[in-house]
Amino acid sequence: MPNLILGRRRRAPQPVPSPFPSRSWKLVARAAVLAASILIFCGGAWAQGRPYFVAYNHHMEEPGALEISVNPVFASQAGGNDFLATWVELEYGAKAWWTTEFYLDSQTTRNESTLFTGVRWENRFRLLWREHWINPVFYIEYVDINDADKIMKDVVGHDSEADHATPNDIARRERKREIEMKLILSSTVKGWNISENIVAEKNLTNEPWEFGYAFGASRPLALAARPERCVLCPENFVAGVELYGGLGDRYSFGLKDTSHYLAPILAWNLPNGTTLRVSPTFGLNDNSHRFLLRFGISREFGGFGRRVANLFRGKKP
Amino acid sequence: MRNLLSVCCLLLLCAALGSAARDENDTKSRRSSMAGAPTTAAARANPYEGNPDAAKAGRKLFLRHCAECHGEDLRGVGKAPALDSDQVTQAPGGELFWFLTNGNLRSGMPAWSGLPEQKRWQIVTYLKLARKMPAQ
Ligand code: HEC
Repeated sequence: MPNLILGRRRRAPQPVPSPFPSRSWKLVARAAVLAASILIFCGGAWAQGRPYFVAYNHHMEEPGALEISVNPVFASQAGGNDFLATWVELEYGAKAWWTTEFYLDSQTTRNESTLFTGVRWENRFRLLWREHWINPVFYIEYVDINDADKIMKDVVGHDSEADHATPNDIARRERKREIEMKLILSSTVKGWNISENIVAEKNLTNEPWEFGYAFGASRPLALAARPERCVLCPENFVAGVELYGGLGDRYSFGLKDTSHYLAPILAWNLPNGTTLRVSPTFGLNDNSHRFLLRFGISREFGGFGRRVANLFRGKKP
Repeated sequence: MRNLLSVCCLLLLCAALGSAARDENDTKSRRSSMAGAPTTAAARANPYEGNPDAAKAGRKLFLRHCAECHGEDLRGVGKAPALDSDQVTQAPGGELFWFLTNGNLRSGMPAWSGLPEQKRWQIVTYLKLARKMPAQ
C-alpha cells in the first residue's frame, strides 16, 4: 500500500505543457475581446447579411457601409496539433453592385505558436441589374498567405486535413500567392436563399488550376417582423446549412483525394446591429478534418463612406 | 502568371471606371426607375394593406435598413431621395414592392431581396402610412 502511494506521488508532479505559448495566446485573447467589445457596443446598422461562412449569395453590402467581422474556426487535427484559426474581415459596399473585402488571417496551433498568416482582397460584382430566378455574381480574389494559413475559407483541389499537420515553423516559410474566381448563383424561393458557388483557384507559381464547390441554403425562422423591438424572437434568427469541398485540379478533376464538409449554421441578428453566427462543421470523408467549429461576430456601420468623405471635406461626419 | 494578375487588376479598374461613367448616366428622373415595374408586378396587392401593426413592424425595419440613407424622418440624405413625397406615398404598393426588391443598383439604391417578402410588404405598408402615423 505505502509503495503504491509513493509510486503515485512520484508521478504526480509532472509539469503539464501549456497548450499555447502563454504570451501570444494572451495577446490573441485580448485582441479578440477588444474587437468583440467594439463590435458589440459601438452603434451599428443592420446588414441583410449572409449567414454562410464559405458559400456566398447575391446579396451585396449596402453602398457606403462597412462591415467588420471576426471569424474564428477551431479544428481538430489528426496527426498534428489542434488549432484555432481566425480571420478578420472588412467588407465595404463600394457600389450597390460591387462589394470589396479585405481579410487578415491568423492562427494559433496548440503546443506550437500563434502567427499572422496573410491577407486576401476580394471583390464581388453583380452581373445583372434586376432580380431573376437565378442571380449571378462574379467573384475575384487575390490571396497572399503562407502555407500555415488554416482558416479554410475555401476548400479546393486536393486540399486535405494532412496539409494542416505541417508544423508552423516549417509551413510559414512557404509563401502562396493565388487568384481565386467564383461564379456565384443565388436564388430566393419562398423565404429560402439557395446558393451555388463554382470555384476556380490558381496558385501564381507554376501550379494547375484547382476547383471546388459550395452550396448553401438558409431561411429566417420567421418571415414577418413583429411590431415591437425584440431580441429572442424567431425573425432575428436565420438557420441554414452549407456543403463544400474540392473537385481536384485541371489534370485530375473529380472527387478522388478531395475533402468535403457539411455544416449546419445558425445566425442571430441582435437588435443593436451585431450578428453572431455559429456553425459546427463535419468532415465527410477521411481526407477532411473530423470536426470544425466556426464562430462569427460581425457589425455593420452604415454610411461609413459618407462619414469619412465628410471628414475630409471638413464637414460634420 | 504576372499576366493573370495584370488582367485581374485591369478588370477591377474597368469596373471602377465603369461605375463612374454609370453614375453620370443617372441623371434620369427617379420616377422612371420606380415606374419601371412590369405591369403584373405593379398590380400585386399588399397583403398588409392599411394594417397598423404591419406599418409599425415596417417602421422598425425602416429604421434598421433604410434610415441611414433616407433619414429617420424620411426626408432623404444626400443622393437618397425623401420618401414622404407624393411620388412614394401615392405609388401603387406593388410598384414600391418591386422597386424594393430590385433596387436601382446603378444609382445606389440597394436591392432588398435579402429581406423576406413579408418584411418588404411591411415596409411598403409603412411607407404608404408614414405621413399619417404619429411621430415617434
Ligand atoms: C445606401 C443607401 C440607401 C439605402 C440603405 C436605401 N436606399 Fe432607397 N434609395 C437610395 C438612392 C440613392 C435612391 C435613388 C435611386 C434612383 O435614383 O432611382 C433611392 C430610392 C428609393 C426609392 C424611390 C424614391 C423615389 O422617389 O423615386 C424608394 C421608395 C426607396 N429608395 C426606399 C428604400 C427603402 C424602403 C429602403 C430600406 C429597405 C432603402 N430605400 C434603403 C439609397 C438607399
